[in-house]
Amino acid sequence: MSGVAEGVAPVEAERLEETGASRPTRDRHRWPFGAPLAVLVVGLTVTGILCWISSGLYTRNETRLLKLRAQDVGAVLTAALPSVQTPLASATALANATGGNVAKFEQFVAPYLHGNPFVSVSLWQVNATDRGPLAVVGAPPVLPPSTARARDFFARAAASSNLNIVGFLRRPPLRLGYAFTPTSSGSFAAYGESSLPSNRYAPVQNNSAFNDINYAFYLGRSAKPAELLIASVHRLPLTGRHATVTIPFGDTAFTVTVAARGPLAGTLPKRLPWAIAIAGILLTIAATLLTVVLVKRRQDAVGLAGELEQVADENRRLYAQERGIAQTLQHALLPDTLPQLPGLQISARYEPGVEGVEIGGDWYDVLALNDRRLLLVVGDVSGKGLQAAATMAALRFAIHAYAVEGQAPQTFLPKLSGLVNVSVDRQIATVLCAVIDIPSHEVSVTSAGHLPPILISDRGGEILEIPVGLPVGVDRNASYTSTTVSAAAGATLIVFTDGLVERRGENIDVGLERLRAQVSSNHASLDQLLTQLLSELGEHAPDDTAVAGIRWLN
Amino acid sequence: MTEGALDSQPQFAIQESAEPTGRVHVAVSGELDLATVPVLEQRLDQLKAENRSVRLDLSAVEYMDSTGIRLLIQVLTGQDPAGPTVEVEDSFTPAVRRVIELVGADRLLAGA
Repeated sequence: MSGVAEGVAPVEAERLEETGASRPTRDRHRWPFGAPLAVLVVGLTVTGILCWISSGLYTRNETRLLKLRAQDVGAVLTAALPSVQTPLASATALANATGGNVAKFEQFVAPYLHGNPFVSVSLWQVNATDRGPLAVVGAPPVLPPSTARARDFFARAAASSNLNIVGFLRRPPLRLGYAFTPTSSGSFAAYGESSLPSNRYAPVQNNSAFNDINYAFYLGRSAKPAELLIASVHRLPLTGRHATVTIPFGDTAFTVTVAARGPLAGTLPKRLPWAIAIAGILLTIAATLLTVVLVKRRQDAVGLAGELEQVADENRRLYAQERGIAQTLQHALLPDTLPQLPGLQISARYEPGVEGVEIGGDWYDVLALNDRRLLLVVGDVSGKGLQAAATMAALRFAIHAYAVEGQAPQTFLPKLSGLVNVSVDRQIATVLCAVIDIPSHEVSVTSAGHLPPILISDRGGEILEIPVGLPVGVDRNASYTSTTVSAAAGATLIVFTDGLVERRGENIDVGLERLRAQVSSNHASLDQLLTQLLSELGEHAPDDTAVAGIRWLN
Repeated sequence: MTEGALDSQPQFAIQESAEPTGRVHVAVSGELDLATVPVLEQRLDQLKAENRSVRLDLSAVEYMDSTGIRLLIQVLTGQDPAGPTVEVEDSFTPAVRRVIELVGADRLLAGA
């Protein structure tokens, strides 16, 4: 069922705006803020945290690696200790064993000169350092002989079982001096000096295992600039991240500071935080835009749903309005008050159908022609809605006009086909007219395609058999014949539309017989009878129904 | 084959086949009422616009209300002599036949 009134088209969204109906409460064109902003903030925060974490991991790793490198350097230095200690120990032992034999001493220490590791090796008498060395191989030692310094140095060396070290770092030539006496009982000591570059600079070889770091070695337990021995850079202190280790060496120590020349673990971990940052920002931007699109789509959908609902509401309103109009029309057209005529009871009912929103085209009419004659009309326009109601109104008023002029139904019924035409209007109407002459009890019935009336007497109900003419709207030249019957005293004539007797799936004769049975031996008043007949229908009447009746009082 | 959807009623259906003469045989089944008449009417209008002659077979129509009667009468009386013909088969179920008689439209069939 289309449910659409024939006269009013449903409202579309565009027309809704034309009429100035209110917009959906949420403006469709406002850009969404909340969710995308949240996505952006979360995305950037997560990216930031990941960057920070990876950067921290990188830093910690670099620091750890640097420390290890420093320890590696320290290990190398520690490994160098024997290369200094052993020759001096052996030379001292030899001197003590040979009573200070110079030639043997010189011969023994010769291979250790020229930086292997010494530039100078000399033989000294422990108790008589003021006299200077007994023998010198290589460069002359810078240790000043007749000084308290020399005396203290050799006294210390003789007393300890450690390699003793002394540094000459004030002015060139820069030297480190070493002495090692295995026992404290000898009177001789071998003393060696190794040299340092006067500018204290020694770059790391490119093919060295340590080419990833810069270093600075200091004599002593702290990195005092005055105690700098050698470094791989010109400018100190070392810049950037550095690690310091102190390596015990003989009776003193070397302090080693190393700094990374580049990322020790390679460039990838260094670049990783940046890669994370860039990827994270790009992903966040993409996610934010996606969120904007999704939220906006949802907004649009919600807005559209709201608009559609508004359209639906408007349509409902219009349908209700139209049904209201049709109902008002019908109510206005159907007689409120029935004429009162002496000797006759008159009653009528109209019942709209239970199905659908639209009004049907059924009507009844009761017209007093004069004080003794009555015209009872019942009719049914095909279709529903405003069009059916309008046609019904036209027909009803036309019948009024003709009847008041005195025209008989068989005369005016064809003329009604001038108001309705099945080919043009796609409508027909069935009409039943019953002219009642009250005093003579005569009923003259004319049917244009309509169901016959039922006449009730003591014998029961009788469906009148009458010829049926064409419905109105088919042929302007149609002819109609009237049938006259005599009604008994107290008889009842009821005219009705097919809504009263018709049910789907049932031959209409069954309904007519049912009606006949209902009215036979029914002693209710006319009003009560009509009410009963309509209430019997109940849910069986999707169609609207009109029923009108007269009863002779005598 | 076009179908109309009704709630629990017998299924309304239009079945068409072309006859050797080029005439269209339109067979309707189910109910012809307020809901389904517009569908059939539209189809007949379409065929008329295509200048196709129609043989309308309503023998399988089980129920016809006033709208169906209206369409039947319209088809039977509204023939344009210059246009394609619509012939209605005089073959109906007893219930529908009775309704046609009560409405006085059977004389239109006899003449067709």
